[in-house]
Amino acid sequence: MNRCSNPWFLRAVRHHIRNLHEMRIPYARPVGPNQRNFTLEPLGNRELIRVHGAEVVPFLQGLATNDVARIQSPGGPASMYAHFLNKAGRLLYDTILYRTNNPETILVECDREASSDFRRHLRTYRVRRRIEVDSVDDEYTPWVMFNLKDASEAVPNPHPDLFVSPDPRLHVLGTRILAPTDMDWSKLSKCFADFGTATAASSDNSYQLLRYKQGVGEGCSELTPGKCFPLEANADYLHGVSFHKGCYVGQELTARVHHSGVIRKRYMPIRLTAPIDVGSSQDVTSLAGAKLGRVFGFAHKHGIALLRIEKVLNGRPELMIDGERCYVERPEWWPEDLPGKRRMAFAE
Amino acid sequence: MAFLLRQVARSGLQRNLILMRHATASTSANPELSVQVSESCLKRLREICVDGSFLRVTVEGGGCSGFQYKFDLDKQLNEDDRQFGEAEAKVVIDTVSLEYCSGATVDYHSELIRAGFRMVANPLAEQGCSCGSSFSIKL
Repeated sequence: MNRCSNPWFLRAVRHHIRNLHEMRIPYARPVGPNQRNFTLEPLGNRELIRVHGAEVVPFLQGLATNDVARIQSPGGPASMYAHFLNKAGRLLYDTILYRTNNPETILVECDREASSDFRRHLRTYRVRRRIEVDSVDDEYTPWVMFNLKDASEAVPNPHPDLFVSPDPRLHVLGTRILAPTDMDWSKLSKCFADFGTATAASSDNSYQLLRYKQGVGEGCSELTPGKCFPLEANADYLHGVSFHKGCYVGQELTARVHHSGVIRKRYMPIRLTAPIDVGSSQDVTSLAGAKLGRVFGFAHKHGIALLRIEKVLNGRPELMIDGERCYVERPEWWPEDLPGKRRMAFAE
Repeated sequence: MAFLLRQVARSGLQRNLILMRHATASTSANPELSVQVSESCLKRLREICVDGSFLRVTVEGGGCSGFQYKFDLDKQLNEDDRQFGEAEAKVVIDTVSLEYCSGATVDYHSELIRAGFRMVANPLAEQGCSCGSSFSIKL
């Protein structure tokens, strides 16, 4: 019997490892303020858009998958993950919305390649509302701080010109920092010198690699506009969809699938054993040759693929890409009891 | 002759929609944009607009198909408003909203589940959503 493919055995091993980790904690030396280490990386492929106007919240509320009213309420989150959909319910733009000091201004982070189309999308639905939609690419740049030993530790804001927010999707994805454009890596790492020691990202230690290990897609090269649904991009697990808000563009299909439909595919992390030929089909198949999905991004032996959940999780973890073997991994941040094909509303 | 006039009107509408979609300079009012007002709508307005108010129709972005109509009673006429219907039973639409629903009919509908004003037969609207209050623009 192959114990590695036995789900009970794998769960027991994981449980044991978790206990072992917990037992180490009381004996660990407490980490002093200057002993934190983290990686600091600019997000050159992300751009910030300022949406400004007295009706900015109802305006975005009618377009975004998440409950934008929460972001402006007292005690609300500093940022939230949200998708903007076309009227057929397919994902167009994956964004992070940031609250600002001005209640009439929300900053929206989106893919740089999609920024122009996204601004046009917003202006299309503006109609007669007095809403300004402008890129602030020349003023602010998004950064990410990750690889803290304690991923859920709150990062203090050391400078009034900075905006610091934990990643609203997953703790392990680190902390988003919005910094003035004229701040380079040296200046920004000095701002956090009291908090810890910054390391620059490298090819084997990058935010993109971290996302691939976790199976989180981002941007239009991975979440192709108009091609997938927010639930396939795990927006429900990443706190990007509210099923208790009012109408928004594309809502019908998202709500229907959540309450009574079937989610057959989701983005999942894969571990590669050989480099993928860029010109190849990127198809993922089972060992027997059945097509199970497609790769949308890869780097350094890790990648992200849109895969058929049931076949992948219930079968062997080995898959094939272009004749080479690879392994799919169930993300740790997925809910423990993955629901069956048909979700039940009262189970929420 | 009527066919030619219709062609001119249609190309005018398309040009206006293109301008609107690309958010370029605001367009001046096109006198060919208008809406019809149904008899049931006029009848209902005669009943409720006894204090000099009128029905204001606005198009908003939002709703699950992209755009939705909003109906209010109002007494204040603005500079960019267009009036339809009768002197005592007016329907008022601003020029921006009119770009999205020109050629449609303002109707009053009474049925068991709901009674209210609605916009019917909008030639610029594509399919609406299941609840009927939202529509998408033909592109």
